Amino acid sequence: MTKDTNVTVTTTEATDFDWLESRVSKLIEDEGPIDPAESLIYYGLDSLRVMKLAAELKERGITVSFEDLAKDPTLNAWSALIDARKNG
Amino acid sequence: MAKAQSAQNDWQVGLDQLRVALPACRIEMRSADYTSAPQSGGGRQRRAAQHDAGRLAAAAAGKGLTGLPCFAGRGPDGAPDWPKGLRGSISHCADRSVAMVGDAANWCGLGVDIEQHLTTQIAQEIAPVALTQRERVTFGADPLWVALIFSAKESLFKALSPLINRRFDFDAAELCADPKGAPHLRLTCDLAPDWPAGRMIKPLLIPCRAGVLTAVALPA
Repeated sequence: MTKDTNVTVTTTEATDFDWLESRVSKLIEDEGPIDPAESLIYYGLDSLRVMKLAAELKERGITVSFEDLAKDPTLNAWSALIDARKNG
Repeated sequence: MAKAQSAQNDWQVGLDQLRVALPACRIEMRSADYTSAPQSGGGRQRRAAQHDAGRLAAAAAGKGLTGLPCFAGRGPDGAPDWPKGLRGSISHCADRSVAMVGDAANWCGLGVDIEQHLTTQIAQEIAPVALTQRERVTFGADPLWVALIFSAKESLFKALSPLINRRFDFDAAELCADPKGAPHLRLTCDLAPDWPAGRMIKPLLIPCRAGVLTAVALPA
């Protein structure tokens, strides 16, 4: 299986709350539980990681800007934003 | 200790360049104490240590400027809340935190940012979001240029957003050359009456051994 094939498999996963929580856990390099209402900045999320997530969502066909994510950096807010963009 | 000193040295040339370029500002770097953070995970503890290091750097920079330590608070969005009469900015990268502080009589906005060097993969990933179409045509996804542009826009945001009291995104400005060939950030949209599309802002772009260092200083 080539790397490109792996990417294709990954992008067919549902972009749901569980996916988002898993991706954010990897981005902040913290395996502990994340309070979905708490700012992810306090978990060590920085601008570059937010930008990486925005780029990854774009790859998955969901257009959210850096600013969309940065202005309310919580799992709850991001999940609602992603759902709105998926349905919009 | 030797490793921490080496990391500081990797930024030192860039910090000195920034000090020469902005002699009216004070710029200090401090290292975060990660001893309380676990080896793996511990994002929250590392972030808290970074925050403390940033405030210590700000205190040192404020003392260098005014003779008294400056204690930057924390605004509702997590951004530093500077004492009256001061402008400033803080940035974190790995275990380093840098602070730049200036007199509000001289500056209406200050922004500083440090970033680690990007891998080719990460540069390619973020370029479609961090760079405008024109920037991608000009700079492609070159890791150094992507890092410099990303960082310069972070510095611009920190300097300008508190001044105009609004947030804006990475496509609100793009790196280009002015008629003399010097790099400038050009606003791509009207952000405020005094900050219309087309306005040019000069950033300081400093590649370092440890990463990239950028700053935006908006004169009062």
